[in-house]
Amino acid sequence: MKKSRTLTKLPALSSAGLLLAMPLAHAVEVDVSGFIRQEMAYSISDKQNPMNRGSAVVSGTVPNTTGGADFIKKDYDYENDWNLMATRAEVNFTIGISENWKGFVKVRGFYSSDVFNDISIESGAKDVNQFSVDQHGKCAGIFEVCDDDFMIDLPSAYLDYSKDNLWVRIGNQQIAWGEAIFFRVMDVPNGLDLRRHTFLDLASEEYSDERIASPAIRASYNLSNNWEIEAFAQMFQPSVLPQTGTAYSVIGSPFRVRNDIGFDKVDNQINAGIRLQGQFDQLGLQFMAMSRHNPDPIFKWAAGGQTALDPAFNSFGNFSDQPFRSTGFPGAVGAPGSGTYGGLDWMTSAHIMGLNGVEAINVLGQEFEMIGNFMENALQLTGPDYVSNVAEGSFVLDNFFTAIGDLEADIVPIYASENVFGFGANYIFYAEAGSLLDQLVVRFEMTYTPDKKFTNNMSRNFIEEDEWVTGLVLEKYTRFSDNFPATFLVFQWMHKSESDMAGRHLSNLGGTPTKAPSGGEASGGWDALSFALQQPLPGLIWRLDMNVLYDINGSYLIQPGVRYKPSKSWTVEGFASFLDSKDNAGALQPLAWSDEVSLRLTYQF
Amino acid sequence: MPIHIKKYDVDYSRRFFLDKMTKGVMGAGVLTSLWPLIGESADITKAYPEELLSIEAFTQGKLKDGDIIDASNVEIVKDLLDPIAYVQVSQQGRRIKLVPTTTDVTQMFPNDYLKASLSNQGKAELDQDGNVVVKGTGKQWIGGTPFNTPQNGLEAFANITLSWGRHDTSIYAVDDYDIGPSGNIEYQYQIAWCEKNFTALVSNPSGPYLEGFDDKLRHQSIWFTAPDDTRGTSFLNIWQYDQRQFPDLFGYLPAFKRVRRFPTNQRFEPLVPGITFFLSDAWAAGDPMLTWGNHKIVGRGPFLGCQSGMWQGDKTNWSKEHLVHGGKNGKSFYEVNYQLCPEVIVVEAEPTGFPRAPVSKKRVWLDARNMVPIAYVTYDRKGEIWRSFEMGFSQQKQGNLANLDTKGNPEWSWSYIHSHDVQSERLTRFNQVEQIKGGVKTEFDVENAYEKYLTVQAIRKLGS
Repeated sequence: MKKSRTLTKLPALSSAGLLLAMPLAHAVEVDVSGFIRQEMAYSISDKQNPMNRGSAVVSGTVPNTTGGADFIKKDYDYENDWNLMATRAEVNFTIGISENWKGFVKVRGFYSSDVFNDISIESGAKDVNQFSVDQHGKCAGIFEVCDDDFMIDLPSAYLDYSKDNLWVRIGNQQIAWGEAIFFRVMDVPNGLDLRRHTFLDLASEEYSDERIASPAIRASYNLSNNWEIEAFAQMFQPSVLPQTGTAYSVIGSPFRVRNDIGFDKVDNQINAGIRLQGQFDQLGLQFMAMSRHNPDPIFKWAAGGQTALDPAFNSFGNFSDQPFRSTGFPGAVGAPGSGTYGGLDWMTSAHIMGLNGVEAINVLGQEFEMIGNFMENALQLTGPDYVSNVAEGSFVLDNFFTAIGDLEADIVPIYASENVFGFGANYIFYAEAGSLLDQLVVRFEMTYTPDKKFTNNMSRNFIEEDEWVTGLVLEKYTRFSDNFPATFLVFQWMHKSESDMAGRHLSNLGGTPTKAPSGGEASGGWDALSFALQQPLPGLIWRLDMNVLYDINGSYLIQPGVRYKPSKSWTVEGFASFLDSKDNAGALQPLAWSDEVSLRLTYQF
Repeated sequence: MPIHIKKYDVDYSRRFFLDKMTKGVMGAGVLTSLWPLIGESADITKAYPEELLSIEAFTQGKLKDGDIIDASNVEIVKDLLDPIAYVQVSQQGRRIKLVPTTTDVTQMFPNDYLKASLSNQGKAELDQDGNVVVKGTGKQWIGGTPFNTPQNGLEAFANITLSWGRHDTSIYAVDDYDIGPSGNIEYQYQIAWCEKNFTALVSNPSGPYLEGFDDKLRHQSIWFTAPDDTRGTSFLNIWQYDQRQFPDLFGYLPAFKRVRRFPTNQRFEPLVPGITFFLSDAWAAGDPMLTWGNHKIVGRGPFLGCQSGMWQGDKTNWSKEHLVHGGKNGKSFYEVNYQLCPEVIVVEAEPTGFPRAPVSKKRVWLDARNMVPIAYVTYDRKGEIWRSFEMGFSQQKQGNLANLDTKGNPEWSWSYIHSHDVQSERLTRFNQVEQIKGGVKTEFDVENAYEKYLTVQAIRKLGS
C-alpha cells in the first residue's frame, strides 16, 4: 500500500530548528513507515541482580568486625521472573524536499510494563524508574520525553544536503565510525543508552538501538575517487547507564548518581572529530582524530548533604560535607534499611562494581575532612593510607555502620575531556577460489588516547594514563553446502591497555569479599575474543545466529538466536543470553547473573 | 486478401540454423546479413523469411498475433520457450500474449546506443586476457554492442556485460513482489538500482571514457527504500574494466549504521528474505564475464521473448497490476507480450571462478537483433534446472504517451522481470516503475548520479 502523500507546506519541525533557510519551491513528499514490537526477556537463571536491594548480594546477618552486634540487613530474597516486557513503536518519516535536500525523522516510543520490581522497604514491591534521568530536564536526550516507565524520543531528526561531492547532515543523529562490530575501537563519537535492554539485545544488531544521538553537523567531502574526508561537531550527550534499581542495573542501589551535577558541567560542550578514508584496490585506510568529552562517565564521591548528623559529628567536621547519608535520619533519600550495611556488604559490592573497596576508604579519608578526622582521631589511624586490606577497611566501616546504621551515598559522573587518535585498515585477501582463505576480509583498528582518565575509587583525582585500544577482525562468507546460503563467520580480538570493555581501570578489578584487587590485572591489559556466526536458511526466511564473547579475564556471553521472517509484515526473533564470570575480574561480572531468553515479535507497516 | 509467396518452406530456417551451427558460421540473418541491413534501414524484414517474422506463418496458422498462449496451446510453441516458461504456462496458469515481431530495430535500443553500435561495429576484439578492446589499439571499448555478430560464447557474453542498460547511466525504480509456495505475495520491497559506466559511453559529449576512472568499467548500487526493516540497506559494486577481477563490494546495513567492506564472491545469495534475485543475475551477466568460463554458443534459431509493448505509461506509476494472474492464487505472473524473435543465439557459461557457487551452468538466449537476454536459466550443481530470470524489454512508448530522452527519442529499457526458483517454488516479480518511496525515480543519463548514489559516501547517506 502506497503511503506517500504530497504536502503543500513543510511539516512542523521547527522545534528541531532544522528547516531554516530551506528552499521551498518543491512540494514536500513524506513517506511514513515503521513498526510496533513486543520485546520480552524471561530470566532463566536462579540468580538475581546483586545490585538491587531486593536481591542484594549481601543480606541477612552481616558480621560486625568491631565486636559489636552483627548488622541485620533484611533479606528480602525478592525474585523477578521477567527482566523485560516492553512495547516499542517506531515511526519513520522520510521527507523529500528538493533535489539537494532531504529529511528524516524517526520517532521511537518505548513502554516498559510493570513486570520488574525492586523491593520497597515500606510497602513491598515498588515500581522502578527505568527512564527518568536528570540530564535534559528529567530525561536523557534533548529530544526526549519520558517518565519512569516510558520514553519517547527522536533518535533521528535531520536534514541531508548533498551536492556534487559534498554531503552535510544537520540535526539529531547517530554517528558510527570504524568497522569492528560490538567492540568499540574507532566507534567513539557517540555514547550508549543502556536503559532499555542494555547490550543484551540481539548482538548481531550491534549498538544500533543503543548508540545515543544528539544534534550535530556532519559533513563529508570526496576529495577524489580514492579519498573522502569527514568531520563533525556534535552536542555532547553522555552515555546512560541502566538506572539503579532496574533490571540490569550495574550500580548498587544505595548509590544515587548525581547526573544533575555531573552533566551540568558539560551540558553545552561540543565534541568534534575528523576522519580521512581512502581506498586503494584491496586496501582501505582510515585515520581519525577526535576531541571530546568522553560520554562514558567516570565517578567521584559527592557531598551527601545530610545535615541532621552534623551536630553529632561536629568534633570531626561537617558530616553533610562527606558523601554518606544514614538512611535512619532525616535527609536520606532512601528508606531506612535500604543502604549498604557492614564492611562485608561494602567490600562485596565494591568489588563486583570494579572498585577497590579498601582504597575507596582511603580516598574518603584523604578527600573528606570529617572522615579523615574520624579515622585519625576516633580510630587512631594514620593517613593518607589509613587502611591496607579488607580486614582493616571493614573495621573502619563497621565502626561507621555501628554508629549510624546503613548508609547511602551520592556519586557524581564526570565526563572527562580527551583526544582520541585512530587508524584503521582493511584488506581483502585472495587465495585459491573457494578455499577458506579466499576473500578473507581482515580489518584492523587502533586508537590512542593520551592521558585518559579513569574512575579511581571515587576519588576526585582520577587515574590518568595513555590508553591504546586495538581490534583485529577476520570475516568470511563461505558456503559449506549447495543447499544453504553462505555462512557468515567473524572472529574478533580486542585489546585495551588500561581498562576493560566497560572502561573500568584494570587495577581495580578482581577483588573478592575478603581480598582487595591486587592491581595485577593491569599489567597485561585487557583482551577479549568474539566469534559470530550467521547461517541463513534457503530464502533467508529463517536465520540462525550464534554470538560468543569471551573475556580472557574469565567472563563470557553466549547468545544463540533464531530469526523467522514469514512475511513482509511479521518478524519473530528469539535468542538466549548466557553470561558468567569466574570472578570479579571479568568484564561481564556485573551482568553475570542475567541469563535470559528473549523474544521479539514485530509487525511493520 | 494478400497473397504470401512462400519462397522458403517452413523447415528452411530450421535447416539453415542447423547448418550454421554445424559449420560454425556465426553471422546473424538468414536471407542476408542482419547488421548491414540494420545499418542501411533499421528494418530487418529482408534478413529473415516470413516464417521467422510471423508467428502465424511459423505455426502454420495455429497461432496468430493477439492470441494468448496458455495451457491449451502451449505445446505448439514448446520449443520456442525456455523450460521454466513452458512449465509456468503448461502447469501454473500463466498466460502470454502474442504480438507482432518488431522489425524496426530503432524500437529495440536507446537511440545513442544503437548509433554507437552501428558506428563502432567491427572495431572490437578480445585481447589476450579476454577483455574487450578496440581492435589494434588495446584501448578499452568505445561504446555500443562490441560484437554484433559474436563469433564465440565469450563475445556473446561481452555484449551483455559491458553495458548492462545500454545507457551511460541508468536509475531504476523497482516494485518487487515475492510470491511464496502458497501462491501469495509474502514479501514486498521497493528497490532502487543505479548503474553508471565509465567506459564504453555512448551519450557523453567528450567521448567514450570518463576522465579519472581509467581502470573502471562501472559503479553500480542497489538500495532498498521499503519496507521499514530493509530501508537504507545499500550495496555498492565497483567493477574493474578487467573482467577477471571481482568487483569491490561495500555495504551499508542499518544495524551497523556505517559502511563496511564485504567480500564479493557471495553473488548467489538473496539479498533480503523471500527474494529470488541474486547479484549474479543482473542482465544475465551480473558477474564479470571472465570470472565465468567455458563460454560457448550452443544453439541458434527462433524463440519467443518480450521485446515490445510492456511500458504502461497510462497507468499510475507504470503499474502492471492489471496484468497479474496465474500461480496458485492468481498473483504470480504478469501477462506479457511475447513476439517471435527470428534468431536467438543460445549461449552457456560455467561459474569457474566460483567453485562454491550453487550454480553449475547458465544458459542465455540472446536476441540477435539487439543482443539482450530474452531468457536465462540456471542449473544447480546436480545439473537440474533451478531458476529462470526472464527479462522483458520495451520501448517506453504507448500510443501518444512516451518517456523521452533529452533528444526527444523514446527511451528503451527493461520493463519487468520474472525470477522463478522452481525448486523452492518462489517467484520474484520486478516492475520498473516511475517512482518508489524515498523519491527515487526511473531516469537515464542524469547528472550527479555518481555523487548521489554511487560512492561510499552516497550509500552512507542513503542509509538512515
